[in-house]
Amino acid sequence: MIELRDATFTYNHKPFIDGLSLKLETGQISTIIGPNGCGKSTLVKLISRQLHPQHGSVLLDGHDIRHLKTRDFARQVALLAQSSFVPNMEVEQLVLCGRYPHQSFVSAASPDDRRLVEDALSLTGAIAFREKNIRNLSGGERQKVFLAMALAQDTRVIVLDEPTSYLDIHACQDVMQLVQRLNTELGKTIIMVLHDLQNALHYSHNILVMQKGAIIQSGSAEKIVASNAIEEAFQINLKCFWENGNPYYAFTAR
Amino acid sequence: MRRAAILVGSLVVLLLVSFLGLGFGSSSLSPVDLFQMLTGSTDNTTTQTIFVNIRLPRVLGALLAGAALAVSGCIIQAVLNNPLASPNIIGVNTGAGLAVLAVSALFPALLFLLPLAAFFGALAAALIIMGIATGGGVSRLTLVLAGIAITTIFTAGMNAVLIIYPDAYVGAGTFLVGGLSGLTLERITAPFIYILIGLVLAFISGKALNIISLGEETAQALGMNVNLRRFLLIALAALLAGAAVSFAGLLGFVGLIVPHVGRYLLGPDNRLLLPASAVIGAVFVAACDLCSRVVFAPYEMPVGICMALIGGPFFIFLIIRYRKSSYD
Repeated sequence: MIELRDATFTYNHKPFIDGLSLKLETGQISTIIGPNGCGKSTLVKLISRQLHPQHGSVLLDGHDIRHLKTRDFARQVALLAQSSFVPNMEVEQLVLCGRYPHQSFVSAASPDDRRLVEDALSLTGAIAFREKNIRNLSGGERQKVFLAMALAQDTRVIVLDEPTSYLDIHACQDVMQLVQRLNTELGKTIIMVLHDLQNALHYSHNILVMQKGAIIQSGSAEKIVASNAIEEAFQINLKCFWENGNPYYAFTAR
Repeated sequence: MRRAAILVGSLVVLLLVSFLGLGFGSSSLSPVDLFQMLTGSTDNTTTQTIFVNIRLPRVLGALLAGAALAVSGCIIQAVLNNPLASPNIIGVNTGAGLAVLAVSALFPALLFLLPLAAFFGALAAALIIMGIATGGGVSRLTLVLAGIAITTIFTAGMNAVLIIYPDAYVGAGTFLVGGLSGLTLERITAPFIYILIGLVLAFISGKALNIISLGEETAQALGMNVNLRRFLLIALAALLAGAAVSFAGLLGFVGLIVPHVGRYLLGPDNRLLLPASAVIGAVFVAACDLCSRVVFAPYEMPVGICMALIGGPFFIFLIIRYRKSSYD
């Protein structure tokens, strides 16, 4: 379980996240949503140890992650960062990079490393383009490769910062379904930031609505929809329709 | 298979170029002379003198400088994530050059310290550039411009030293463009040790360089202490470039061109690229040195001029190629 206790993070002496406390359960897909600039990415960076809170703490299974070694933390939590940067690297080589926290400085890939890379390539479908350079892939294919790398890292928790940015609707659904499989089939705890509210409501066990650095509501999609938290945070109207037992959401400007 | 063939082919070319380099010059040695020298079966003192005192140090110097500068360029390009960067572009060579001239002028009795001084000079320039690059939001071309500024400052320093101490460095003109004439085995012994250590450390750093080239956030998320590792790798690049500059002068463009050629031939994996760059860099400098001796015979051009003639246009090509992707 990941927990924030009274965590405060300030930019330029101005509290951006102020005394935030929350718990993210193991084995769930938890999604952070909120308008631009509300602190979603900062929260993800605190959880993934890219930033440290000036006050309070972030705990992983009860241990303050500040006191964990970088490499030990990387064996437990993987991060797919939000970045437009595309490295000049072949797919298989990138996925093998996921094994870095488990290897010594000079050691070559072990049979275990190879097996986990093969499994990650197969599960994500990246095996189809394993010998290509990442720069020659589409956006959706690239995200699958990065997810394969996170998978090869063999962690219990995977943190995804806007994994569907820049993707068309088909690629977006591909990635979201893959994320769901990582959770249901492999039991990975997923923590992600999404801009797409439809996907957030559809795929998450637990949704956290952020506004101005605070969580104003959290819980299941039904609870969030019933609470009007999305309307308040985004200043929009939300309608829910049911068809064949499935909820569909429509968002309109106020 | 293709990669193995390219590596073996490069090594064959390396041997061929080295052999030609040992043979050709103002007084050529025939293949028979060379064979007898290499097997120790000649009594001809002229041949021995030319071989041991002139050709061997020169070819060894070319191979060492080429390998060191090429690997240094590979490291710098990966750490700064900038394909336009290299030891001569970002001012590392001139940092080393200023240190070499300053020690030669101020402490002429301590010339054995030249490689060490060159290392610190190169490191100073590299750290300034790294400080600018890690500020964030710095494009590739901006970094190149910062390198030009640093190069200008250090070049002014070198010129000042040479004006105040005109006799500080024998062959200063050649040093400023990069040249290998007049090398002796004694002169390259210390740099040889530095470069050997540097190359071994570089070859085992391929995996770390691959991780760094994924970007700071991802590298940290994979468990790397990014700032420390960056510093160590930049220090390694400075060690290699500084050691090369300490005896070969300001050889330009090896560290820029060779990593690109290596990536084109073998792909971007630094575990393979680093040793391959060492071989290609050695071939490149040895071949250029051979050309500069043979093409203009009986005159001899410093090898740096030959390399600048190739490197300059290649650099312009790279700027045009990458100008639209400054941040990717």
